[in-house]
Amino acid sequence: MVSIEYTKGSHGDITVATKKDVIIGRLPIMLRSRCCVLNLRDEAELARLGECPLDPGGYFVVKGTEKVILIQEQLSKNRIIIDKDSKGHLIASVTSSTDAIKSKTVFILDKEKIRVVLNQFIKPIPIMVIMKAMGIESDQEVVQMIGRDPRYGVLLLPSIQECVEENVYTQQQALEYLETKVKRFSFSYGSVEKEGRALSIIRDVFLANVLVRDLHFRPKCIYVAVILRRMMEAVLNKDAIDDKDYVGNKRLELSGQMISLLFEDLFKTMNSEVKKSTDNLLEKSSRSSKLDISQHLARDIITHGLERAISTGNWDVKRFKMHRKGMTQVVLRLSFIATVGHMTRILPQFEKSRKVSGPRALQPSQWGMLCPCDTPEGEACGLVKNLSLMTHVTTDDEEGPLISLCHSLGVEDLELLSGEELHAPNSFLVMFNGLILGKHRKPQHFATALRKLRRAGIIGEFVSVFVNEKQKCIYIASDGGRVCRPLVIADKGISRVKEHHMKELKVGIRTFNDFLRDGLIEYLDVNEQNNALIALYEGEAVPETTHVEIEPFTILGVCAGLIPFPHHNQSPRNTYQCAMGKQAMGNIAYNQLCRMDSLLYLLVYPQRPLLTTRTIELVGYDKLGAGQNATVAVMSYSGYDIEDAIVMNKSSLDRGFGRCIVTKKLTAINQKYANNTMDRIIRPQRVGRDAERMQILDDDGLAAPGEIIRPYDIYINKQSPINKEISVHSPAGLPDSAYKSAIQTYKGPRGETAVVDRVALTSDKDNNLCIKFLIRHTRRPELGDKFSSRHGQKGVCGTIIQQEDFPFSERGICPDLIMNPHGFPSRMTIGKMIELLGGKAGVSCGRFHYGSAFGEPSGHADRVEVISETLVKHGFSYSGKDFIYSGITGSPLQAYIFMGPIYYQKLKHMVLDKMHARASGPRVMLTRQPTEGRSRDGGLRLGEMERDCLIAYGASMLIYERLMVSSDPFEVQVCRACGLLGYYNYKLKAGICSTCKNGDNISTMKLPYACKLLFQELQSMNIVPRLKLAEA
Amino acid sequence: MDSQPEPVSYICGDCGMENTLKPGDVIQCRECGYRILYKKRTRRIVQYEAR
Amino acid sequence: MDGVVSYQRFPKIKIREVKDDYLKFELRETDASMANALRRVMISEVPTIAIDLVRSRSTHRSSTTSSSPTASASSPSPATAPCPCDSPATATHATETASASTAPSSSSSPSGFVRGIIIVKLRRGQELRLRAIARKGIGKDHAKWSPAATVTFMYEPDIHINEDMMESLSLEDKRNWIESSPTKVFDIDPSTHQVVVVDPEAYTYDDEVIKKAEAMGKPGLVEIYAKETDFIFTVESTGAIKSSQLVLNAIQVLKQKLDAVRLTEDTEEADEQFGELGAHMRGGGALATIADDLGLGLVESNTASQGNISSSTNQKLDRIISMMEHLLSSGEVQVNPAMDFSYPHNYGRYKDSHYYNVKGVEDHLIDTSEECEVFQIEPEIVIALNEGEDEMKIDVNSDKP
Repeated sequence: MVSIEYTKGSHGDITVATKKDVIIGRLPIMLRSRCCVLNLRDEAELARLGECPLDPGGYFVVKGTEKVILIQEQLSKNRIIIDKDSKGHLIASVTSSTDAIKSKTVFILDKEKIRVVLNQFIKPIPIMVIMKAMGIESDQEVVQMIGRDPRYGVLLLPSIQECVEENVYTQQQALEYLETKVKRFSFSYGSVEKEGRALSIIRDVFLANVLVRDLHFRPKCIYVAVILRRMMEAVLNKDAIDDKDYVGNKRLELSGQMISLLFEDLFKTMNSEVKKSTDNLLEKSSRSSKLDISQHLARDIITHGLERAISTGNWDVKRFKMHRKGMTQVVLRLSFIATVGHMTRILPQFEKSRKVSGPRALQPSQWGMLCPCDTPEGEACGLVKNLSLMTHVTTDDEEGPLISLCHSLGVEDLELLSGEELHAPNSFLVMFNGLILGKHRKPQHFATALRKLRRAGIIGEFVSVFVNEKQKCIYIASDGGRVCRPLVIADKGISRVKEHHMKELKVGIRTFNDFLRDGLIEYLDVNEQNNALIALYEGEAVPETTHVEIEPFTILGVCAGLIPFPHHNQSPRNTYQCAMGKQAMGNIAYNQLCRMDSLLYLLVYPQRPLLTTRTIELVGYDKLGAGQNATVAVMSYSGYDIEDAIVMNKSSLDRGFGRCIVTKKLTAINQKYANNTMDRIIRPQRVGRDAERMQILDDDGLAAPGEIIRPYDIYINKQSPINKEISVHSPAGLPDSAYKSAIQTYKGPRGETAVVDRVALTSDKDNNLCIKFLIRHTRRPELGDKFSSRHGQKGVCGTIIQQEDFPFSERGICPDLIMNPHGFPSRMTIGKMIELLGGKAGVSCGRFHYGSAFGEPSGHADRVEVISETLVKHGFSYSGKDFIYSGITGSPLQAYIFMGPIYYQKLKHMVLDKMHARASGPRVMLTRQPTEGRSRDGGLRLGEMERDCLIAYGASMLIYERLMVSSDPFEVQVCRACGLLGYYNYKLKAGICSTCKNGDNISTMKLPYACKLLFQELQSMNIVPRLKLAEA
Repeated sequence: MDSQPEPVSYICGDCGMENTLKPGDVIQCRECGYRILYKKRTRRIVQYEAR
Repeated sequence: MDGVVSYQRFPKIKIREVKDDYLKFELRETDASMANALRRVMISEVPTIAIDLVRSRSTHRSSTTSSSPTASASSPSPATAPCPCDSPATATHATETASASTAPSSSSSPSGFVRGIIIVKLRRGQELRLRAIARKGIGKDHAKWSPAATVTFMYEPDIHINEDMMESLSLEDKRNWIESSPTKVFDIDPSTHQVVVVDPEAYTYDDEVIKKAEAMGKPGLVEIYAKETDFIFTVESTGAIKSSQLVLNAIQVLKQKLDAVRLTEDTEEADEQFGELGAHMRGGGALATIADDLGLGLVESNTASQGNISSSTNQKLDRIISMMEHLLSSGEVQVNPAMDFSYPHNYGRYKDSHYYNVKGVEDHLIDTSEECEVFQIEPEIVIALNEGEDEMKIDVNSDKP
């Protein structure tokens, strides 16, 4: 879809021709992006296009599947990071990344000597050698550049000494020294560049982000000096060590950057491919026509390359030696919130197996940027993160104008400064995207000037200015991948957003972007937040306050935003809910019934939660909910409610509570074969053997929509030719006998009736007829189905009880489900209790109540006192407890029961999909043991630990039965003479030993077949297992 | 193929046109060229339980 | 048997309010087991007619009506009820709790016009043909057969204010004390400034006033007991049967159950050979079990001979029925005409005529010309169903309109 203008040089008389709009390849487009047809469409237009207006977009459709390229978390590129390595050495590392090269330079302080580790060198190089190689031969100059503080000089002394010990004094000597340390590649470029090898490494690889023009090494020297100074500061003061997990030191790589990386690589391969093919063409002597390069553009390289990468998730960029797997995932379509949550997911760069706690811990700096709740449990805990509600990830901004702007704002160029002046007091270094730009004498003045320009919209709104007092640096960043968030600007503690602004926003005169343009709101990244004093609410602002939070609930992400009153819950409960919200059944999209998902779970009567949050409204969960408001009584009942089990009301289930639809897609392809024959679909036999199983078929041999389909029913009456290889001259005229049946039968749970929902006919990419059947199955909740509230409180249905046995109140309210109160004390989910209260008040007064996180002061969450008042006003107890009668006896219960509506989610784990039992059944061919797993109707394994129990108990016959009789018994003929296995000769009716060639010493015994197999496998390896038999 | 009493017709996923197909036909709506066709609902009486 | 005092009681019934779908009555001089049995039967064992099978037929233009069978099959509530006029209190209707809260005015709209439950929405050009087969059934099988939207009762509270202690309170304290009750049970007489009980039934046994009195340092200011023999019933019908009929039918069902118990007693003599053990098992054990099953208490007649147990309960039921019938026919209680059903036919009495007048549901062919028409199964034909028949197939005009 990308068309590119290109220039053509013709052979002989050189003319330059231009061809416009040449297609070099096709690029998958992210949905709802600027190039997408759905971009900026309103709801009606989207509906007309058959798209859901609430769908977040942000994914790709490749080969018919929806794929997200997940956000990748990385350590900042081109930044100095001071750290300690595993051995406790102080290190400073810079991961340089330029258009041409990626390299990592590490400075390591080992036994007081500073050395440089670079991949291209076989061993660490003393720092002074590098400095000398870059042309600074005088030690004094180095010391001057680092700073004249005697403490620094002392720290540098060992390094200088080491250099002297190596007899390196001049640049020439340094380079010669380095030459000996350069890694030799077996196929090196010969001795052509022998002299320049070390120099070129120093120039191009060592700190590659600092460009060296015409061997002008001074910027690089200063950069090294700054690194050394930072290292020494770190030696003197432990606080100067950087925190790798600090969010300001992280960059998030978005799909655009990934694709551009891949595209660049593919484009270069395409160019070289074109070059290769033209070279081939030019080598040929007999060419009839003139060469036209445009004819040889291989457009498949880019198209296929991108397609393959996105559909497999394997990113292979040869130039940067990048091989990453699992970059893309199929979009979760379990529920709407799962889809939205999937778009905000951040994958870590580190391997998951490491047992370090640092990267997993909650970082204070992720406040407002990354959701503190939403992370998976288990191995990826704390590594996989999610964006918060208002987080913005920056994209690259142009550097040139900013640099010149900085200079005109009074940044002094480095070239004009001596080493001495570099760290002069009262002046700050100006770092721009990791490069040293120069220095400024009035840092605060400079920073405020830049910020004013940003607020005025003259420079980009995502440029960050951060004054680091400790390091005496001003960091200006315009690079991509920084996380930032909007904040209200406050002058001397008074918010710039006034009431009239909010009114205008409500009326619709103003938008968020107007606020941004007018300088009322600005984006701050993690680093710049350190220069700001941010008040949570306007009322809490002090004169020093520079910013006010927009809303505290935005620190949570999409998934955590669904939880009402999360700030009243125990923290891990919110994390559990974040994981479970993604498994809840509900609606997927407005067009859910038009989609052809391979597996779809839908709730029949989804509701919007009675207790909402602002996030729910912002995201659209109130329109595509995944749950139902159930009236819950917190009491014990029947004993079938232990261990979080739930007692359910049968009448509620009759009336549709928790009812769900499961649709499965079945696909059949009418294959074409190499010999021109193809599968055929024929009319079903109406009489005969299979007639009964073919009842649901139409005359076209396909199941008809609306028909009830039962297990073993045939849904496509397909036949395929027996002969698929040898060519046939008239494929159409093949007789019926040349086909064998290739029917496909429905395999579903026995005793359940599903319905054929839709049948679609299409052609796939090879132009084969492709038929897709959508099978719909409606399920009502049954014993063992999993339910959960929005507070990480999951439970299975323990029993289903008639309505008349259920307790009731004098108002006639009868709960939908009963939850055991033991679920509360240890879980400490106070939020759930407040949800119940709020929901109860909501139904009685007819208003949706709110429970946004930290929302009480700002009115986004109702207070318990207010809720209680509403309850009392409507004749309920303020505590939410009701006077309840037993449905069985009709007498009042001893205690008041806490009862009210709670939003319950039905989770996708259902018994019907999991229950499994077998007596005798299929066996594995190789070992003759029962198969494994439910899908293969496998046996239930008596495992090692169970075996141990039986041994300990002494139930030897049971072990024998389980491990042998019920598994793979096998009768063998054993030769007592040689101890090897023989065979049974049916003619002679005797066992014969094939080794001894007789049947004299044969005994018959039973073995597990797997044992016999082992013997034979050992024999095949030239190991002879001999059995020694004894009388039993 | 043997005589079919009534060829099965299919509905276009885009314009709703009814199309009849013969074996080997390209799957495409004759009206609008849309390449996904849906089968029509069964004409037999189907009995569902209202539970 | 002589000399044994009979504790047999004679329950009384008083109807307070009657509408077609709402009934409030008092049941006095019996106990919880009796009241609860009645409630349970009303919910789950009074038979009605509801759609049980849906046959969908050829639909020529039913392009994407994929949801149609789902919706009709899985929407159990329409039953024969055209308007189960959901009250916000029926929390068992999980769906209706929400609808009541989103549109709180819908159920209380004075116009009396209630739109039916939407089963399926059709688009232009879509059609739906179906034959719905209604069956007689009970709520125990499926809630769609339950004629009761709400059946509940409460014990009548017995409130005693200690007047002397009350008079020792200031007016302000009295007011505070009254305010402490979430429901308006007490009030102050404007003239005498005395605390009076205005609505004892508003009391929800929440103990708030008692706690308040204790907090005020006046324990025993008020004493509230539940009268364990008196019940106030609230019955709301889904619309399948009139609420009054629902109660009558429930009593009938209960009677039949007791008849079944008596039948087993008749056979008692036949297996006398089991002797004392058999009699014990049957009389003391089996009967009690069955009666327990029904939720019937045997407390009040425990001194009477075993054979009289069910008959005495039966007598009570008969009394209740006759009382109710009398009340309903005498005009003592007015049937609210504003809420009367629009069906012209009368409902046959279950007891006497042994048949139901049944509203049936027939084929519909709706060819909508507008974008979003609501299709609703509405009862059309009335067919008599004989007592023994449990299934009814309505098969009138099968020709296409």
